[in-house]
Amino acid sequence: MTLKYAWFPGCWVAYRMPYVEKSDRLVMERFGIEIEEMKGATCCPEAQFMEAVDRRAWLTLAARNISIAEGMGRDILTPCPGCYETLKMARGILKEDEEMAGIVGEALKKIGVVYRGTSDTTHLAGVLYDKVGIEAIRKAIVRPLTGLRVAVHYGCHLLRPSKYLDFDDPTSPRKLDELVEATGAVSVNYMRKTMCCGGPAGVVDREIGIKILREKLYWIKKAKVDAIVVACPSCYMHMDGNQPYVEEMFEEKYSIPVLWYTELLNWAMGVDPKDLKFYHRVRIDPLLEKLGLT
Amino acid sequence: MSEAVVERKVLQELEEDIQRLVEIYELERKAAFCYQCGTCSGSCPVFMAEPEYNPRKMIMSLASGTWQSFINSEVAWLCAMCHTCLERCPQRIEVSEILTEVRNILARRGILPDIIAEKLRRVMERGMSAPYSKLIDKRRARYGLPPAPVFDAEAAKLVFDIFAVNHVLAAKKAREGGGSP
Repeated sequence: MTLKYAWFPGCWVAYRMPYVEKSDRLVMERFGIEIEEMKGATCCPEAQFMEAVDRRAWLTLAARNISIAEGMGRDILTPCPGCYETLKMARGILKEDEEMAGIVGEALKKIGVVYRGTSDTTHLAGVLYDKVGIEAIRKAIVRPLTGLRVAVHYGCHLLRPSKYLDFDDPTSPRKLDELVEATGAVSVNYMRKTMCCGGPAGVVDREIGIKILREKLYWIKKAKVDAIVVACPSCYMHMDGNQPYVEEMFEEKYSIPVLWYTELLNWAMGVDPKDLKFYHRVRIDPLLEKLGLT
Repeated sequence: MSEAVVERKVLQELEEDIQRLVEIYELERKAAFCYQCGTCSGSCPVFMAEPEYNPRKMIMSLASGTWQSFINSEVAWLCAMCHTCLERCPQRIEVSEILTEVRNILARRGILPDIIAEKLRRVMERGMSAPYSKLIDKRRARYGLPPAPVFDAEAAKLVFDIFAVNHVLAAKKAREGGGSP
């Protein structure tokens, strides 16, 4: 079985977090997922500014991106839940909303783009779970992360709105937990598991973003975990990068490492954590020591 | 969060737009079934941190024509777009969708936060919303990655022209140039 996709890294992964792309690519190579770059794409575009400012422009740019993958005869694969949400939603909306499809169709005609709606979009975690499968991943584990307790954070854009997205059950998702548990780690349940991390609100008002994050961290800490595992660049940046500010504002101690889910998979598949060169604001050395990975 | 003082003339223009939105979403009928259970607000991560952002009240005020209360600030832009309210409303009111449409209406009158405007400008300049870096390919090479994708800013600009997205930035500038702090 060959899995071939049009690769849409999204601008945050490509320009801000090369370590995420590196880690994801290693996993894709390991499981024979072939990717080809999409040439001439634009921002997906991000819903928070584009859907919120002009839904027509948001859908038109998304449809244009999808049309590039159509030209390649492939579905789109992205490491970013934000891109996944936008591209997946756009295809769904254009299928069901005739009036909007008409407006977008007119705009696309003006810029010389033919959109058919034939290319779907998936997030890498979905391909790993649905196509590669937990069994194959389990077989690739050479260094089980036994004893590691993690809090899996799904973030919003893999799950909602479930009217358009089909990654997993929006209220009781399991796929990311199972991917993580394939490494031998334990995914611990906690309050507010499917709640937003506060990242997007923090973009507009920093203090509000920090307060929302504190709510997440409060319950995660109660679950006594060694780390938080995420699959979203925005959650990664907010939960890792802003943790010291939560500690400052609330005079509480958290220091819970935030890990990218394929970072964990790579560790368990024998990749040296140092070779992945992730940037972590919350130090992960104590964790690596505990796992005997230093 | 900065206050947005909305002039009377703009409020009148907004009135028409919002009335149309209420009709499109049949909000008068739908809100009649809203029993104010507050599931939307209780599920809202932003409401938890900032009670001024109250989806339950916002939806009701749209349906009852008293929306001016939350439109006189940029509070509508705090929505994290997590869509939990949309998932959980027992009366199936499309809360986050409707509030997104409200922001479309506000944007056309130039009522939007600076960071949202900056992201629009980034898309026009580089075709992407993340900040551009000249050094990115060097940095990627250290990870053994190919050069970063070049996004098509021209295409983005053409689409912005078609829908007059530039007008959003001009309207914001005009509104803020008025001298109000």
